[in-house]
Amino acid sequence: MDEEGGAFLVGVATASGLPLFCRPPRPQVPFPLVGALHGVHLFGAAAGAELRQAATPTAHLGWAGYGDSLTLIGLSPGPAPARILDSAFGAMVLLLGREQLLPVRNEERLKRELRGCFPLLDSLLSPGGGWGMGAPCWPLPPGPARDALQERLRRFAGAAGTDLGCVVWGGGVAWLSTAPWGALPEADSAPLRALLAPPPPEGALRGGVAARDLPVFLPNSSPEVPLRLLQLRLLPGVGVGLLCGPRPSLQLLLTQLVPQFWGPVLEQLRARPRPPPLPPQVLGYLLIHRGRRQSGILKGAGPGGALPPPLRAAALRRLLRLLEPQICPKSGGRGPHGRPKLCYLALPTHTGCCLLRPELTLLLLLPPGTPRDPLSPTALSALSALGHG
Amino acid sequence: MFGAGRYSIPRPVTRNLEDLDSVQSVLLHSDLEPEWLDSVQKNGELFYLELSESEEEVLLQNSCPEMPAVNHVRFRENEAEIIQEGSRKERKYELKKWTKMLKRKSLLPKSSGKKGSGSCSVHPSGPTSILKHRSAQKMGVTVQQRYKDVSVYVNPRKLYSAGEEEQQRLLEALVGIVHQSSWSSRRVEKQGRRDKATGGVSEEKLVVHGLVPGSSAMKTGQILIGDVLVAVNDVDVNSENIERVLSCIPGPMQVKMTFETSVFEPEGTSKQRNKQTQSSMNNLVRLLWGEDTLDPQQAVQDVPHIVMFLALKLDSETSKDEQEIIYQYPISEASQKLKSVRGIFLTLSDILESITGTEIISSSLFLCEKLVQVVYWKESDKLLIIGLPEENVPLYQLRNMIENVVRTLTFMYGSLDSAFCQVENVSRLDHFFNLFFQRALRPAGLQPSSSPGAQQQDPCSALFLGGFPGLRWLTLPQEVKMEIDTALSDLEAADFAELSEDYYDMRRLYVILGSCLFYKGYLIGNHLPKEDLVDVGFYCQHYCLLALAAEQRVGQLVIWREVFPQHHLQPGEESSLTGYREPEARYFLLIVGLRHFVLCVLLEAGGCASRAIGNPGPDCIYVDQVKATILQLEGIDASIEERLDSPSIPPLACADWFLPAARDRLESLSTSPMLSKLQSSYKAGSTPGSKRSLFGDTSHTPRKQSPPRSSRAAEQGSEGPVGEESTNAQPVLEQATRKKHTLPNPFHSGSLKKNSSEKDTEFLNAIKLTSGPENTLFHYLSLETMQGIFITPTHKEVAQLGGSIHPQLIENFYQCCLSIHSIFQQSMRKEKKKKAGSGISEFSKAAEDPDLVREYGLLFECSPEKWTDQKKPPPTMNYWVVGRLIPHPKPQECYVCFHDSVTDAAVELAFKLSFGLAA
Repeated sequence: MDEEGGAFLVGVATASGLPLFCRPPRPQVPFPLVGALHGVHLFGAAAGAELRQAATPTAHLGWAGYGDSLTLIGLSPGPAPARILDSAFGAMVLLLGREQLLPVRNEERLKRELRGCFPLLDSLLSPGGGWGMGAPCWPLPPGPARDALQERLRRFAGAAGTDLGCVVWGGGVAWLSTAPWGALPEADSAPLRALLAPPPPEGALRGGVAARDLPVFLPNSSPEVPLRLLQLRLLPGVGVGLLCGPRPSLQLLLTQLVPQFWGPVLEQLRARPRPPPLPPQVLGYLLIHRGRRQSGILKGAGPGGALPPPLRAAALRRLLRLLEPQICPKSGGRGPHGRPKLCYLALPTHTGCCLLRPELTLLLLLPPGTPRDPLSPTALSALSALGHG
Repeated sequence: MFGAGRYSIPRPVTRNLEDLDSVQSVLLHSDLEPEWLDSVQKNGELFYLELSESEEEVLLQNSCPEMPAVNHVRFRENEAEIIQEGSRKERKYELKKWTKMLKRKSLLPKSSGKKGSGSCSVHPSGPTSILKHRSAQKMGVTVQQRYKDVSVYVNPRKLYSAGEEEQQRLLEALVGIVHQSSWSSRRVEKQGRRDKATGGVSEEKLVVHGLVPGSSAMKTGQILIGDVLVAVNDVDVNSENIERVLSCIPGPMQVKMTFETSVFEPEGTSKQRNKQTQSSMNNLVRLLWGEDTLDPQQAVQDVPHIVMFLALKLDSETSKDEQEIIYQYPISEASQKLKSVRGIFLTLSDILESITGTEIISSSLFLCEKLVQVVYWKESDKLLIIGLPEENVPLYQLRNMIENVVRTLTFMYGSLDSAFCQVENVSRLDHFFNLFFQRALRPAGLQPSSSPGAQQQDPCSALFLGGFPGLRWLTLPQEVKMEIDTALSDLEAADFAELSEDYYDMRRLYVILGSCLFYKGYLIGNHLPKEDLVDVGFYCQHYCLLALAAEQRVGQLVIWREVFPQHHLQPGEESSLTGYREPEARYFLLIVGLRHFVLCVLLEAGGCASRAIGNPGPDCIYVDQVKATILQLEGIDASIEERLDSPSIPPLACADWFLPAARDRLESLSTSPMLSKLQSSYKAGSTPGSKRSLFGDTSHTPRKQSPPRSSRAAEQGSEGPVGEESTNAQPVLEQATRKKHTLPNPFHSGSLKKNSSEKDTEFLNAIKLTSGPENTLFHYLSLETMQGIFITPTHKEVAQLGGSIHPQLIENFYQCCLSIHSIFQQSMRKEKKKKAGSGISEFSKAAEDPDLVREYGLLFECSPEKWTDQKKPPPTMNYWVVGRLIPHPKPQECYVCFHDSVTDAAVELAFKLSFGLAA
C-alpha cells in the first residue's frame, strides 16, 4: 500500500450523526463505517472518555469535536492526525464563518455550503498536503530590491485602507508580504495561503483567477466577522492579495490602484525571484517559523551520490516524520536538558539535519555520508541565507 | 528396586567420602530437608523467597500479624503427615525429618518433632491410626486447629444464674459458658474429637457445651459450641483450676479468653498454601517498594490504569453483564472509567482492521484530565489491552511493555488463552500485574533498602535500562570467565555421580538445556540460546529478582515452574532447513538465588529424559546441585568486585569537568580524580595479559573487526575490503591508540611523573576518545541484539565520577537512547517486512532499504542548574548523543555520549573499534 494514500476526512454532525461531507468522496469510506466511527466517539464522550486517536502500523485515525455539534474524523498516514483535523476546521471556518458551523442548525444547507471548501480540503489531504509542504516556497532574498517592493506593497495596501497585503509568485513559489500579514498566526495565514496560491495543475501556470472578491473569516482572529479577500492578478503567474474591510471595491482597485502602484514595476515583477543562496550541499530545506512552513527543493543535480530531484520532496517529508518527536515533543517527553540544539539522521541515500531553536526549526536535506562536524555550520549558513540568521 | 515411574533420587546411606566433592558430601550427609518443601503448590510451582537476616527482621516487624502457630494434618495418599508450622526463622534452624512426598517407601526415619508449647503431644502411631481410619470417610479433609482470643466482660458482682449452691460454677455464672464434666468427657471421646486427656477426670479440657442466653459469652458472638477454653488472660486453665482462676477476678473487667476451635476444611482448595504464597508474594511487593505502604495499590489509586483480557466473539444466547471481560486488573476505583468504555476498544479493533487492513496498535483517550494511552494485542479472537497515562509511560515505551508482557505470559503459561482463561491463575495474574503496574507507575519507589551496604542505584536509569531489550552484561577478565563457564558446563553435564539417575539405571529426569548466571543484577555467564535468554531475562526482570540480588536481600531463593519457551515449542523456519525437529517435551525453569548470585537453569523433560507426568515439583537433588554450583563459585565474587572497582574501559569522563568557568576552580581537584583513576588503572595494568573479552570464546582473536568494517563499507556506498580479521588488526589498533595519544597535547596535564614502561602499558590498555588534554567520552551503551545483551558502564563506574550535571546527562542519554532505539526498531521492522516479502534473508546486505535509519544524533546544551553568579551567564557545555545501527552481519546498536569538541574522524574511528567493547 502506498504510504501516502488512503487519507480521508469525514465531517459529521455530532448530535444526529448525519455525515456532512466526506473527502475524498465515497465510496472509499462506506456509510456504515462512518456511523461506527462516530458512534464510538459518542459512546466514549458519554462515558467521560474523549477518544482522540487510534494508531495502526500504517495509519493514524483521529477524532476531534468542535463546539459539541461538529465532529471531524480523519485518517492520515502520518503520525499526527489532530493537526490535519484542526487545519480542516480552520479551512471551514475561513470560508463559512464560525457561526454557520457551530451549532449546526440546518444540515442540508450546511452540506451545500461545505462544497465550497472542498478544494481547500483536497489540497490538505493530498500527499504533499499540510499546506506548505507541497510546492516549494521561499521568501525573496533580502536586499534593496525586496525592500523597495515591500514598501510599494505597503503603500498599495494603505491606499486600499488596510495593512494586510501580499504578493505571490508562481502559484505560491515565492511570497512577499507586509509586516502585519507576516505577523498573522499560523492558523490564519496557512489557509489564506492555500486559498491564494492553490497548487497549480500541471502546466497551468498561466491560468488562475484574474480577480476575486471573497468574504473570509480568519479562524483565529475574527471567526465571526468577515473580511474581504481581494485577489488580483498582476501578471500571469504573479498575483496580489489584500484583506480589506468593506470600502474599496474590486472595480476601484482594478482600474485605479493597481495600475498606479504596480504599473511601473511590472517588468521587475516578471522576473521570477531566485531561490535563496543556500550552501551547495543542501538539496532541500523546510523552515518552520512560528508555525508557518516554508520549503524548497533544489532542482540541481547536487554533489555525487545525492538523491535525484524527484525523490527529494518525499525524502524531506520522511525526515520530517522521523524527526517529529524532536520537533514537537510531547509535554512529558522532555529530558532534563530540554530539546536538543541540533539533530541529524543518516540514511543510506541521504542525510537529514535539523536545527532546533525556540522559535524556529530548520530541516535540511543533505547528501549521504555527510560528516558530523560541518552540520552545524551548514545549518547556520542556510539559516542566514533564508533571512533568519 | 525402582520400577518405572518418577521417583526422587534417594540418598545412599554410606559412601566413600573421598570420591565426593566436599560440597556434595555435605549435601549428601545432611539430613536437612529443604525449607521450601512445603511451599510447593499443588501444580508443582514453587516461589520461595527467604530473606537475608537483616531483611527478615524488618519485614516481620511490619507485616500483618501472622496467624498463631497451628498444627494441621495433611492427608496424602495413604500416609498422614503431621506438620507443625512455626515462624520462618525457627524452621530454618530446626532439623526435622519429613517423609518424602512422592515416595511410597520411606528411606528416612519418620518421626515428628515436637515444638514449643503446643498443647498436644502427638505420636505418629497413635493419631495416625485414628486418622487413617477417618481418611477413608473424609477423603482429603484437613482438620485445622485455630486459636482465637475473645474478650469477655466479666462482672463478678453480677451472676447470671441464680442459686448460691452453684457458686462453684463460676464459669457458668460469670461468663455464661456451660461445661459438663465427667460424663461429658466420655461424650467427647465418642465423637472422636482429639482428646488430650492425660490426667484424671478432674483435669480435662473445658469444652463449651452450651451458652447461657443473655450472658456475656453469648453477647460476644464469637464463642461457638465445641470450642475449647484453653487460657484465661494467658493462664492455662482446665476444669480443675478454672474456678480458682475465675475467682481471682477482682472486679468488672474485660477478660481475654483463648479458645481453640476446630475447623474442617476440604483440602482441595488448599487455601492455607495459597494464602502462604499470597503472603509471600505480597511481601515481595512490599519489600521492593518500601515497607511503609501497607497496600501498594493504594499508592496508585488515583492513576487510571487497567489491564483487560476481552473476548471478541460472544456467546449470544447468554447475555450476561460484563461477559466479555475474561480478566481484569485492578478491580478498583482506578480502573472503573476505563472499564466502562471497554466497548470502544472492542469496536476500534474491529473497525480499524477493516479500514486499514492492519491490526490496531494503540489509541489515546482523554479522561480524568489525563491523556491515557491504551495499547492492544490481539490473539486469535481475544484482545489484551493495557492502559496507562501518557505522563507516566510514553507511548513507545508502553508498546514495548505490552510486547514484553505478552512474551512473558506466553513463556509462563504457553499462550495468552491458557494464562487468562483458567480460573486458578487469577490470583497469580493479579500479583503479576500488580508488580507490572508498580514498576510502571512508581519506578522511583523501587529503591534499595536503607541498609548501609547497599550500593546506590540510580532509579531513573534503572527504569530506562529496563526498557532495553536484553540483559545487562558485565565484561570480565578471561580467567574469571573461564571459571564461570567451567562451572556452568559442569552443571549442565548433569553428571552427579552417585546422585544421578544413571547410577540407579534410571532414565534421567531432566536434561539441562542451558543456564545463565547473574551477579548483582549483571549477567556474567550465559549458556542459553538468545531466545531462551530473553525469555528468562524477562521473567527475572518482571519479578525484580535481579534487583533483589543486587542488594543482597536474598538469603535463599528457589523458583520452579513449568515454562513454555516459544523458541522450542514453535520452531522457526530454520528448522525446516536443517531437518532438526524439537522433541515433544515439557520445559521447566529452575532459579536458585543465594546472596548476590542468581542462577537460572532451563530443563527439559521428554526427548532424551523421561517424560514428566502430572505436575512435578522441584526435585531436591537438582536444586541442591544448582546450589552447589553457586557455592563453588563463591570465590569469584572477590574478582568480580575487583573488576567493578577498577576503572572502566573505555574510560569515562565526567560532564562537570567540561564546564569552562568551573574548570578553573576545579582544576586542582580535577587532577586528583584523574590521578586516582590512573593510579588504579596501573594496578589493573599490572596484569597486561588480561584482556577483557566479551564471551570468553578463546577461538576468536580479541579484536574482532569484521562487523564495523563491513558497516563502514556499506555506509560509504562502496564495497570496501570485507576481509577476515587478520593479525594485522591488532597492531593497527595499538598504533591508532598510540597515535591518538601523541597528539599535540599529552592526554594528561603532565604533572604526574611516570616511567615510560608504565606509559606503554597504559596506552595498550586504554582506549580513550580525546580531543586534547582530556578524555571526552561520557557514557556509552552497546546493544548486542543478537546475543540479547547490552553493555553499559556499571553503577560503580558512574558513581566514581560523581558530578552534578553528570547524572542528568546520563538520564538524558538513556532517554534519548530509548527513543532512538524505537526509531531503529521501526525501520528494521519495515526492512524485515520488505525482505520477507521478497524472499531475501534478513541478514543479507542486498537491496538495503533506503528508509533504514543508520545513525541518529542529537546535540544538547547544558549548564549547571544552580548558578548563583548574577553577572556572568551560566557556563554551557555541548555534548552529543549518537546512536548507530549496524545491521550486518549481526544487528548491533551502539550509543555514545561525548563532548562536542571531538573531531569527526576520531569518533568515526572509535565507532569502528566499537569503543573497545566488542571483542
